[in-house]
Amino acid sequence: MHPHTLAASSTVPPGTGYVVLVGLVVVGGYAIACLLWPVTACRRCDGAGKFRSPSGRNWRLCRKCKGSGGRIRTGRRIFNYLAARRRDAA
Amino acid sequence: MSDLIRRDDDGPVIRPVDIDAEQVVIEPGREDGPPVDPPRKAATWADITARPGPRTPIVPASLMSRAGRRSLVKQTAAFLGYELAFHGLRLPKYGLKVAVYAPWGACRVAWRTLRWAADLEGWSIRQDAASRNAVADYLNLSRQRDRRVSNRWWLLALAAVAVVVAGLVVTLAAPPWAQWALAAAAGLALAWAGQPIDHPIIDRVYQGDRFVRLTAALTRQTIIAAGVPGIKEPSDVKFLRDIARDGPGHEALVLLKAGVIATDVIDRRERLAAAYRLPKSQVWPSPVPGEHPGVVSIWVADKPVSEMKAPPWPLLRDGATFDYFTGVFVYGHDERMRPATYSLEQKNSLFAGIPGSGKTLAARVVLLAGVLDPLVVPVVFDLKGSGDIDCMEPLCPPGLYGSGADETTKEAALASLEWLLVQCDERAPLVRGYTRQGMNSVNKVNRAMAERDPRLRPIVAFYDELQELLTDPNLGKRAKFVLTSVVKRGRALGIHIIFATQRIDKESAPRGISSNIALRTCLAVMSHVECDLVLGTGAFRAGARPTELEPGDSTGPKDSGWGYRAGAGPVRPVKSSYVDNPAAEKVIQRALELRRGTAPVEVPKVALRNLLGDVRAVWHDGEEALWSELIVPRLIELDPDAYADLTVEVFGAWMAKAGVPTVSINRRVGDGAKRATRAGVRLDALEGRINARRVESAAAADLDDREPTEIEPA
Repeated sequence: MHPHTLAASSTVPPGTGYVVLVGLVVVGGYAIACLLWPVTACRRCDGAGKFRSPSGRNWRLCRKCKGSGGRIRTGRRIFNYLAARRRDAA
Repeated sequence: MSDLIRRDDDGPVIRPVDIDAEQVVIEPGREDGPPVDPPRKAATWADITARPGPRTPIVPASLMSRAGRRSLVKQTAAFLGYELAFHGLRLPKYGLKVAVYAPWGACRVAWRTLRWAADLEGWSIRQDAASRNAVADYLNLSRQRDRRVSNRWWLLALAAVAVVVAGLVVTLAAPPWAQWALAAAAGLALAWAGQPIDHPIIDRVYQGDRFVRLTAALTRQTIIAAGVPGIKEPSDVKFLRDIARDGPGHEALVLLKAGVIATDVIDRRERLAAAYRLPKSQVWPSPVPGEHPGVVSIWVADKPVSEMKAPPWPLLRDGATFDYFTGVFVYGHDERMRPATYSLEQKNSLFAGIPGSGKTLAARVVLLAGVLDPLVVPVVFDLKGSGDIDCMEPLCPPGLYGSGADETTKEAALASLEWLLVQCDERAPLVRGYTRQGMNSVNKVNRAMAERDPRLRPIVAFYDELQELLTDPNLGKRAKFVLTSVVKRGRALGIHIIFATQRIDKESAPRGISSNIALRTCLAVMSHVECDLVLGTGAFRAGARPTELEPGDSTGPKDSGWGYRAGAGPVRPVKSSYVDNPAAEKVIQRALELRRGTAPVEVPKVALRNLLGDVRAVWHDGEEALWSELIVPRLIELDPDAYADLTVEVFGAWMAKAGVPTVSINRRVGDGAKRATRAGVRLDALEGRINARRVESAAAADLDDREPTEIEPA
């Protein structure tokens, strides 16, 4: 059979190619972000690292990020985990 | 001499008193006595601060002469002319190279600038923090990066603006020649930044030997780089004087930091050579005689010493002769090609080294010099039979030459040693007699005596591979005993012994022998133990490194002939002059010419036999005493060659010399014969003497085995 007829007769809906392309760009962009900016703002405190009382006179450190205000991106975390496993296996 | 004690630098100063000069008369009332050596005048400040010794000339000596100036100008012109021609021819090639390298150089420069501006230095440490999930570390590092980078980007922007403005000005307003010049300069600079390290833009002019100009800065860097313990800073290395030419090379006299000694540097010769970027054979650190141990001399040769042309042996010149008693001959040269001298009188020589180190040829130089004195009687035994000294045979008296590894040669060598011992016995009274007649002020042979009395002609005896004899199970002990005795006594009696040995341990170079030899040359050996055994304990620690010499083999002579010599000044490396076989033959011919007309030395063959042993061998069972006239025919039968001319009287004399004087013996010989009294030998006296000899040689050997320095474990 000719490849064109194969593509035409397959069950893939039209426009899938664009979706895949966009997906790849997003994943690639996220990977670059994990490399260049591995730390992003803490979700709990939005990067402030501490919470203030309404009067502004008292404050406490964010419990989640222990005051640093940042967190490692999930992608980088996964990558670090896999790299560590790979290193241990070697 | 007058009765005044004279100072060597002044007139009579002190009147002698009755007592010894070292004693001092104590005056009553004074407890310390008068000063023994009072100064003759008060010292002035100028006396103390005066700096005697040579001064550097105001105008360099080489520029004072017309020839010196001319040669300087000529050499500089030749150098510059050659460089110009060389690079001029290659200009198109250089242009092409610049065109290729410049874009690459632009990329490199841009990358380096960006790297600096973005602080990529810290990239890996920031990534590491992220990989460890260490948020706080990462944030700290990024804040540091931000602090650095903000200024840098501003600077970069300013520079970019400046470059663009300058470019615009040049393209719009500058004359064309300036535009070309600036473009060329920019291209060259970028190409220089872009050249690969193994293909520089400019080709090398000189491909020959590496010549490194020895400079103070380089020497400092080198010593620091060599990792000499205690030397960390350039200021730890100072210089006693300017680096100067010395022979075919340059010498730096380095003053090390307090607490660091010359041998610390000498130990790292290999690292020094590496840091100088030179082969090891061009770098020669050594201690400086006469200076304190913190001074090291580093001599850097213009090219490897093995490639330098060694000066020929001066005694190869036609008509050159040598005087055993007062003469000094050139034995070889050191690494700076300075002649190294050697003298024979009142000394013995030892040459030790592994096979291939060149000891036979080195010892042969000494021997050849010796025979150039027509009075010298050579004795030569080569106990390996290598054939290197076969050329000596025509000079040696019959019976005093041997070559071979067999028993016969060993026995002949031992017999010659016994003969030398007898010579010692005979010479001592003769020398004393001539000394009393006023021919010498000390009891030593001198030339006048040797010329007057042929019995006192100097002997130069060479034993190659002596260890073969000394470790022989049968002859070894006797040989050691005789040798020790000859070495100790012979030197004052005109007997110089040269030993060459390749095994160096207590067995083959016993302390009793080696410690009595003045001139010791250690050629290539395997370890510091041999070095110390040959040159004396502590020689290795003092900087002698014969372990670094490479013995020659089929691929080349390498360091063959090089050795460290003790006994003539400080221990220094010396290479023996190379005298090949044809040259040696020529020297022998000259030596034979010199001896023409003088009576050859006759060594009675009996002297070379073990007479006592032979008499015991011809003794029949059951005889307790024997007349000389019966022994003599038996001896003639035993060895017709040696005992052919033996008479009863001569036999008696030789026996007396060997320690068993003949006595009157009353016997009836044969049935019916009358009893008669004749001179003869008693068996108990003979055996007693043989045993005594064995005991004394055994005792000597035992003495020898004892190590004076070693402490036995309790």
